[in-house]
Amino acid sequence: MTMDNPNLHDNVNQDPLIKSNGTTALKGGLMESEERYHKMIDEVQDYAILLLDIEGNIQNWNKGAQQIKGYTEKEIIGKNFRIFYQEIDRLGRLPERLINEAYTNGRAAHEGWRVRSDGTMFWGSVVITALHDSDNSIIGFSKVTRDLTERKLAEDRIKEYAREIELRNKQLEEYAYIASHDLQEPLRKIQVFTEMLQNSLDNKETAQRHLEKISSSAQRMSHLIKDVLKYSQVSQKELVFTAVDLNKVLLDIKEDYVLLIEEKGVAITADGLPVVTGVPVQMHQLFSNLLGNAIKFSGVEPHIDITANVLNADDIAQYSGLSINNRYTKITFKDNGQGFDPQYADQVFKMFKRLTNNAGTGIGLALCKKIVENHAGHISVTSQPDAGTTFTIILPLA
Amino acid sequence: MYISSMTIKPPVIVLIDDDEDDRDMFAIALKTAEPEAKLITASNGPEALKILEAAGVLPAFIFVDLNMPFMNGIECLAAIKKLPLIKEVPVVIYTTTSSKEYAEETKNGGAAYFLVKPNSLYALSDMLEQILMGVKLDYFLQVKS
Repeated sequence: MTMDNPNLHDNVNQDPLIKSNGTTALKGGLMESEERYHKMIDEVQDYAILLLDIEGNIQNWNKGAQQIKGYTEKEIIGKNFRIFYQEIDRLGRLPERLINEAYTNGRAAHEGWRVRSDGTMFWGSVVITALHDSDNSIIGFSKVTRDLTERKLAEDRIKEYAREIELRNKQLEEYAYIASHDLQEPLRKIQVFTEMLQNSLDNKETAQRHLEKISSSAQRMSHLIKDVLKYSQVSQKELVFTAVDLNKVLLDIKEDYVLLIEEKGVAITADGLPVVTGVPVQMHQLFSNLLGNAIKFSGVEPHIDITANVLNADDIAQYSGLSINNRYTKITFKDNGQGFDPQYADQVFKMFKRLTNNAGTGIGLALCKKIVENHAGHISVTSQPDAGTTFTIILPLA
Repeated sequence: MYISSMTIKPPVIVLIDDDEDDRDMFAIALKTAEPEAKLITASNGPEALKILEAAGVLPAFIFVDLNMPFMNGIECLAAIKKLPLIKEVPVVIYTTTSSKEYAEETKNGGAAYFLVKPNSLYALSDMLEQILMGVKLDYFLQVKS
């Protein structure tokens, strides 16, 4: 409203305090004025405006309070304002702290989740102000609350978007690096071997060798692209977690590797694997990579032993990033294969790091690490040359 | 100053690269650039350091790949620069990466050149010839293709 509003001028002109000098009129005017103040507060719909006594008990209620908090006047008058707070805040004595602050400083402001009468939440912006009598002693508090749930949700969404954009940018940088370095390598070889082939066209045997090199470089390029794609898919944000039975996962993977397992005579023992909370396809990728590695780097009489134990509270505390409110399984994936020098244990999970010049792309274990991170778990490795390698994986139980 | 060790005839060149194809290509290109040169190869840093410490002869140049298992090229460069006598030998970083950050880092680490692996054997042997002859070149060497 502006000062030009004619109604406003009318109101001012009609004010009894200005119009009349009589005591009765003044008294009547005061009552009328108080009545109007009352109405003004009562009718406000966008703010919950209430009066608390010195203990925080609710003395009056307005339309806004009913709209925001859901209680009727009859239900709420006389109750303590702590009722509006979540249990965790009540346990943390937040209402008491706010009242104390208002008592000491004259005012306390706070934003946070509050509980409606039906148990749903709203994001309240609250100002509690101390009220004084003529002797300047505190006689109670006024409490003004606004429902800023919409704004809060919008802010949270914006924060979430910002985090997502940051993540995506990091991934883009990662892929740009891959494209500029790791994908260049086989391409360069194809170019060089093509040049060599051109110079050896009259020597069939040499030409044949160069052709094979070109073909294997192209194949390596193809594997790299496929694996980078797999890795990028694992990095997607939208993950659907369900209960995954690892016994079933292992069975499927053994099926995938059946020819290699028979050819190399690999013995696999696994006792009572648990049901975890996971993304099924990622659990499959995780165990497929670990089993594939164990087979690839197997020695004589290869044996792979997979065991699982429930992690106790002390163990959980030892790993950063695990929550004591969750239950976890600790899976050990042990082989008696070629192993490696344990000082390089950190390197094996890095993208494109290979400790041997094998046919791999160096993405498999980076993928495993990413998957375990997606599940808020943990992966580590110990190894001894010629004695074997043990991967330890911690995953949340279903 | 790089020419001094080239005065040892035939010059010895050391290449540290985990990629077998790259070692073969380098050997072919070097043969064209300097038929007299003797090439010693190692497939990783620790192996190379053993060879360098044991070798009775001072190499003219040491070529080091960056992306290697066990010890990357930057760590390898640092280790070479700690070896008595050998630390005077010019080290050429020899890599697929054309990353300016790596170039800067290895320059600070005491490398003589940063040579991006070319897409052609001719280009590689031209490059090697110039480097071995002691022609003064830019630090960052990338053949346009």
